[in-house]
Amino acid sequence: MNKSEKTFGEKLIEMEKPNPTCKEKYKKEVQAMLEKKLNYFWRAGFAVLSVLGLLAAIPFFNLASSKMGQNDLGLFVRIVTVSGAIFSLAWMILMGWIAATGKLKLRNQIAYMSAIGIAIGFFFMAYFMFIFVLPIAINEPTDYRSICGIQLALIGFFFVTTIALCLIIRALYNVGFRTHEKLLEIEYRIVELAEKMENQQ
Amino acid sequence: MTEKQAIYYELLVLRCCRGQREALEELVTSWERRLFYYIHRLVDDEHDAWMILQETWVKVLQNINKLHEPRKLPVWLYSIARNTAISHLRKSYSEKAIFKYDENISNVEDCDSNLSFDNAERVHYGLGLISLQHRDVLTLFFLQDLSLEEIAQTMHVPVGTVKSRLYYAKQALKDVLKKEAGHYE
Repeated sequence: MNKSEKTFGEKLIEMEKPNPTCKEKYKKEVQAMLEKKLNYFWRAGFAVLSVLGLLAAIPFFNLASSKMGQNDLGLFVRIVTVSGAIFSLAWMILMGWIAATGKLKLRNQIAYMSAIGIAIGFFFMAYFMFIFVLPIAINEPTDYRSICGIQLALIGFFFVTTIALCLIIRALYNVGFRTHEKLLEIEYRIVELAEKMENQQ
Repeated sequence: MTEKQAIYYELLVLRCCRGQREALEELVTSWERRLFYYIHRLVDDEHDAWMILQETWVKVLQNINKLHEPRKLPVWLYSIARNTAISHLRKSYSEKAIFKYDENISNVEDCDSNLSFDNAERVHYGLGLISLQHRDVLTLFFLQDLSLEEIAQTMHVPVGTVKSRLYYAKQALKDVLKKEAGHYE
């Protein structure tokens, strides 16, 4: 497409002398259309969600760094609380970033929001189970304890499977597009190279 | 269309579908001038032409995921621009009054061999003087982005009809340019 000589169509287009004011107005409107900028109302909403992420991280941090009586927390509880804190902070950063820039990339950021949101939900459920349900269950008969265990396992399984599904679908979608894009890029370069070689001969 | 162009269009559409802002900007930048030229030939008021172009981009960005044949990108873009311009014209005129064609001629394959238009400035001037239906087909033809088959797809008519319309339009342009030349002599 790098022809030095202009085509008739291009010469014709050059004859058109648009009004600079109209063109400038159009350019601004198209630019705004491409940006998908959020208004102040939405930005404030994302800022609130960011603060909620911080508020969610606090109890996780408290539990992760505390001791229960004279005994250390179990390793599993520690992993759950630390992971919860990390996901809450990730949520806070993502929401804060959207609020600060005022730009929402629908395809990427909504997928991350869903995955992080589901993860936080899971860790809160697990947190609730460890703090309130399991201590009661320990003092109860074995049957009740196993029911609690099954409930915890089922809830956890639901959340973890949903997160995994979200991430896998997203990854597959991206891989498919990227592979196709790379193949087309290679194809384009080959055709370009063939054209150059033809011109040299 | 060359193979290189076809691959380029496919790549551009794919990148737009992935939501890459640079690709969307590239699409707008590379096509806005030619689409504007075409729209402005259909709509006299420049402000309206810019507005229609903007509306065209809104439709393009909303529907680019539905473009199953990226190689038909030029036809698709011109079709959207044409339909948007026609919708705008319908607000001012009755549907039949927009484009009036006389399509009695059936075989015009070689009829226009004597007509040649090589002066862009004169053609641009002449396009402003002929009727809307002639301007429509001639602008698509002179912009050289589409083959006759593609112009037919854009206008939703058979290729024979496009040839017939082109013949009449070229005759009309030639007459107008002759008259103008005679007027200044």
